[in-house]
Amino acid sequence: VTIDAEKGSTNPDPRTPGGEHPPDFVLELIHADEGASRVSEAWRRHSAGCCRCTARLAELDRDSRAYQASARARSLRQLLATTMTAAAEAAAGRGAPSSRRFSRSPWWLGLSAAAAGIALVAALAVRTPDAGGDLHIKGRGRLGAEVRREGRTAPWDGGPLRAGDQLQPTWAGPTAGFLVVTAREGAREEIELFPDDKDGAGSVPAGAVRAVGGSLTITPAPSPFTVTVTACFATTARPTPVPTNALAGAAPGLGGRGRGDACTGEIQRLDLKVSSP
Amino acid sequence: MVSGMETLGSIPALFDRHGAAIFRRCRALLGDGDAAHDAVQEVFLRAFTKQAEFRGEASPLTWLYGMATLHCLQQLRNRGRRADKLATWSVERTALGSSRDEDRLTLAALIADASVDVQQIVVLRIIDEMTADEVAAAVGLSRKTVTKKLQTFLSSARARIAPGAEKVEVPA
Repeated sequence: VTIDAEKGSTNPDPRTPGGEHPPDFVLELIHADEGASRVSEAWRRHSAGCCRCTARLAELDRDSRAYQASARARSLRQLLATTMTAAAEAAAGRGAPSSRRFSRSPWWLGLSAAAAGIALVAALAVRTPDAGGDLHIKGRGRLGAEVRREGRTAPWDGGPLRAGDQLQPTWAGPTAGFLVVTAREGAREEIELFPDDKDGAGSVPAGAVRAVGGSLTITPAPSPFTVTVTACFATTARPTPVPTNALAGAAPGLGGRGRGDACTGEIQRLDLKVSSP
Repeated sequence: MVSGMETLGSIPALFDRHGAAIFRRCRALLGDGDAAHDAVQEVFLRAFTKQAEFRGEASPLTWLYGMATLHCLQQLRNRGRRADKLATWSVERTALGSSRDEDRLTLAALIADASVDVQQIVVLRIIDEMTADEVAAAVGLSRKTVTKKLQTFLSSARARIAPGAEKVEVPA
C-alpha cells in the first residue's frame, strides 16, 4: 500500500478494505462503537463478516473487561473520580472568603501576622497503587522544618511554637523527585507552600536539607492550636504535572475534610503545637 | 457520513469506555504491562488537564490515541531504547498479510531517527492508518501542518531508501 501525505484528506474514512483486514485502530473504533461517523461502511461490513476480525473484536471485548476489572484500573478510576471531585470543589470554592487564620510569606520576609493559626497540607498523587499497596516509590525523603525566632534560625526541635515564629518547611531526600507541601490548621482550609506557582508538583533534587516553598508566620491566638505540615513525594517523572488543586483531594490523612483517599505518593507529616500567649 | 462535533464527557466515564484501548496501545508501544499501566494513568491525567483543548473534531478515542502515542514515544526516548522498540513493534504490528519485512524494518529505523512529534504523526498515520484529519485532530495541529511534517518525513525517507524514488512502500 502506498501512503502519501494527503491521503484521507477529503473523506471521513478513505481507508478501504482492499481485501485486507482493518488496522487495530479501526477495530478499536468499531469495538468502542465510536466509529459510526469515522469508519467506512466497507470496513464495518468487512469486520462483521470476517471470521478473523470478528474473533479479534471478541478478543478486544474480553481484554477490555479483564482490564476494567483489574486492580490497577479500579485504582486509576478512583483516582480520576477523586481528582474530578476535588477540581470541582476547588472551582466552586474559588473566590470564596477564606476562613483560614494564617499568614503565608516568602521565606524570612517576615510579613505581619494575620489572625491566629495555620493550616497547610501537601499532596501529590503520581502513581496508583496496586491492591496490595505497592506504591512504586523509591527512597524515602524527610520533611522537616526550621523556625526563625527573634532573629535566629534553627531546626525545629519539636517544641511548641509561639506567635511571631516563622516556620519554614524543609526537605531532604535520597532521590530527586516531585513534591507538594501544604499546611493547615485544624479543620481549616489548607494552603500550598510548595511549589510556589501552584501549578502541579515541584521538582526537588536529591541531597541535603533544603528549604522548600514559602514560610508561615504564626500569629497570636487565644488558645493553643496545631499546625499540620504535610508533604507528598514521588520519584515519578511528570512531563505534564497535574494541578495540585486537582490532586489535593486525593491525599489520604491530610486533613482534607474528607475530600479523598487516594494519595499515592510518599507522605510525610509534621504536627506542630502552637502555644497561646 | 460525518456526524457533528463529538463531546468528551467526564474523564472517569472516558476511562471506563476507552481505558482498555489506551492500555493496549501503551502496552503495544512500551512492550511492558507495568509501564503501560503507568502510561495509562499519565494519559488520562493529561486528558483531565487538557480536556478544554478537545475540540470534537476527532472521536475521543482518536484524541486519546494521539496523547498515548506521544507519551509512550517520550517514554521510549527517555529509556534510550526507542529505536529497538519501535522496530520491534512496527514489525509485529504490521506482520500479518505482508512479506515486506525489509520495508517495515527500514520504516521503523527511519521513524526511530525522527523527532518525537514527527514520530507521533508517522505512527498514527502510517502504522495506525489514521486519516490525515484524524491525525491532525489527535495531535492538535492543523491538517496542513501534519501533511507538511509527513511530507518532510517521507521525502527524507525516500532519499534514504532509494535516492530518486518517488514513493515509499509501507505495509497496510
